[in-house]
Amino acid sequence: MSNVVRRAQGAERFAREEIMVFKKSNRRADVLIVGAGPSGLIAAKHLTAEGFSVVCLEQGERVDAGEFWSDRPEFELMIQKRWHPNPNVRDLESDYPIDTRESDVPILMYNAVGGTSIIYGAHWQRFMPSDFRVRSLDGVADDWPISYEDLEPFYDEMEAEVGVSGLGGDTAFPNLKNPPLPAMPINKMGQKAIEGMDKLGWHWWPAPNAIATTKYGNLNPCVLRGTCRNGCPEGAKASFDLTHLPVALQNGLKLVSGARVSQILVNDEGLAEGAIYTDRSGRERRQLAEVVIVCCNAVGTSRLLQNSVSKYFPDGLANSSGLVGRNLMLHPYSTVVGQFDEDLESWMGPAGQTVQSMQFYETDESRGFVRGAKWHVLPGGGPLGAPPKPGAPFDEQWGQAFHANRDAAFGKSFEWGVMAEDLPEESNRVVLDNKQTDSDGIPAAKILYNYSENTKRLSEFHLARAKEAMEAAGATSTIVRPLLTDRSQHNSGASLMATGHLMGTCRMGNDPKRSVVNQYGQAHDVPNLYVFDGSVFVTSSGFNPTGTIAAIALRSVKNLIAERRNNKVAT
Amino acid sequence: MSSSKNEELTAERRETFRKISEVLIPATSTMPSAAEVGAQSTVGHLLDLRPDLKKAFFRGLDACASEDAEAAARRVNDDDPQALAAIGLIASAVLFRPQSHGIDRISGPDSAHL
Repeated sequence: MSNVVRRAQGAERFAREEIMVFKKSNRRADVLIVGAGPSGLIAAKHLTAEGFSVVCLEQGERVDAGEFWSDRPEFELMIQKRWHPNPNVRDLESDYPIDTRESDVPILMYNAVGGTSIIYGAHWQRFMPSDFRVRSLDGVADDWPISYEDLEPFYDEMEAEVGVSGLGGDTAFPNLKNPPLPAMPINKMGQKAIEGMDKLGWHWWPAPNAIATTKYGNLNPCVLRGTCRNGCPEGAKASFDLTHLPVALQNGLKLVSGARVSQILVNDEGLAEGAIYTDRSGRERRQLAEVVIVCCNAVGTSRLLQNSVSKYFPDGLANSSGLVGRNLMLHPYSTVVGQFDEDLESWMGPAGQTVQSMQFYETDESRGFVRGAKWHVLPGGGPLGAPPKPGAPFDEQWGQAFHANRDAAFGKSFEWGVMAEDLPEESNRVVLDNKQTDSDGIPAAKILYNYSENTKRLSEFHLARAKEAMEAAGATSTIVRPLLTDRSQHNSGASLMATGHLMGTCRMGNDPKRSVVNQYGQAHDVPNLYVFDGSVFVTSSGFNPTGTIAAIALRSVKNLIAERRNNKVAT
Repeated sequence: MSSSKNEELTAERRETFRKISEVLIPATSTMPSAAEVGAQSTVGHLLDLRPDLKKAFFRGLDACASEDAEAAARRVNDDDPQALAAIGLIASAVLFRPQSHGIDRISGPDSAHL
């Protein structure tokens, strides 16, 4: 057979398959999930296990472990661009532009199957009981409609599903049991940090991570490369493409990657009935469903709902409260780096975290602010460190200074990171960008976000205490890195630590006038539309959010399954 | 000149990069210079990995071509800091390629299994 004939037959077969796919895509699924990050894949796994037909649309693609650079010599060069946590720096087609020129904080996000868990640090945290009651306790923000006790069994279940390593009994929490895997090693730098905390009599505990310390399901044991935030080539970090996707696919999930959703469709009854998306060949497609779950993170979800304007919902879908996009919380981040005379092997993982402290987590009014922060010990990174600083004095950066700087820091430094609780404010928000679109012509997102006075005072206090902790540990020098202030540097790649955990923008609550969804993620305005991601957070806590996003998603999807016969659906 | 010509790694540009990298990252008693570990031969590979740096990198090299390397590097650091930062980043990456000089410890904890 000639190549020409073979190609022609191939093209015909391809066309037939495309038509079949197109027809199938018009079939109504029981559930459509938009976004294949942690919350979307948790929902997909549990819904398919119960026999629901589920389609999941994800704008990114699947990531193969071979795409990561973390086990190659050019790793540090590549994390400053291709594997940078800030989508504006990466500038991949699967990313969409996010205008942060009016935001104090840049955005941390990865668009792929697995979502941001592909590049998260895997700090697997629970919130404190007080985090759900800040209005009652501190007179600020709002209480959640659920309590820690409501969420506790789902925290437990998710730790088992994900494969969390850690040590039970942390005195900062009530009745914390051992997670399924033993804790990560504390290493020399963690021991050094503990020395300081013990001298001061301050709380510390081996930190929990969603990183396998022994073989666990699809996860391999960690080899401590310390490159978690740029992709784990070992398959040791619990990204959700490893922990949840395989079972969901086995159960019959239809995953469509490279599918960029432009709008949620609504029918004449005001119910969600599917979505319009563009595939990677540029074709506009339509996926119908009885129920729609949006899991695109606090930026992507509010962007999609605001883009979903119709005659029934002229201000955006599920937005009768006017709160879609508002109350964005980004976890302002600051650190103290300590440099030591001795070799602490601080290039070693996990990164990930080795030790945490909640010494200053709860409110003490004498400090002049409310709420607090979680601290965590992070490694010092590789020899290249951050990119060169353009315009820094030549003799501080080059020549003999190049070696002196690295001799002082490489392997001999680590940081106490301060994860500040970020209280919600309606003025901090995601809006549609009227100037930029993504590569498919969909209006992009713009962030309007300012630090509050409470955040500034909180950060200042905590940095002073973290410096004390470093000095008590024997640091010969410290570098205090306060809250970012230079917005022009957000997209320069100058910092490898894009912060910007994404929370709020569609918060949960009992009052439809003061919230977007109920405690199970069900939109007040559209009974068959759900939001399961970090958008539903009422407050941010001072903890990395994925553990709580996962617990809430699990609680929400179990409720959806249990109430399947009682809820209205699009038919 | 076309943009591809602008980003061509000519022999002259390789030599300029060698000289500048020697200034930016000289040898010490314990570490080699970037030039000693193959700045000239590795630069093409690294630029292919980071094409976003090419424009500033070549602009900086061209600005340094006809002058004493140290004086040129200092001047470009003042006049075109992005360009010198791009040259410096590639030179740093050359140095920290472990196969360049056999310093295994900087390749990461391959042997540090739990």
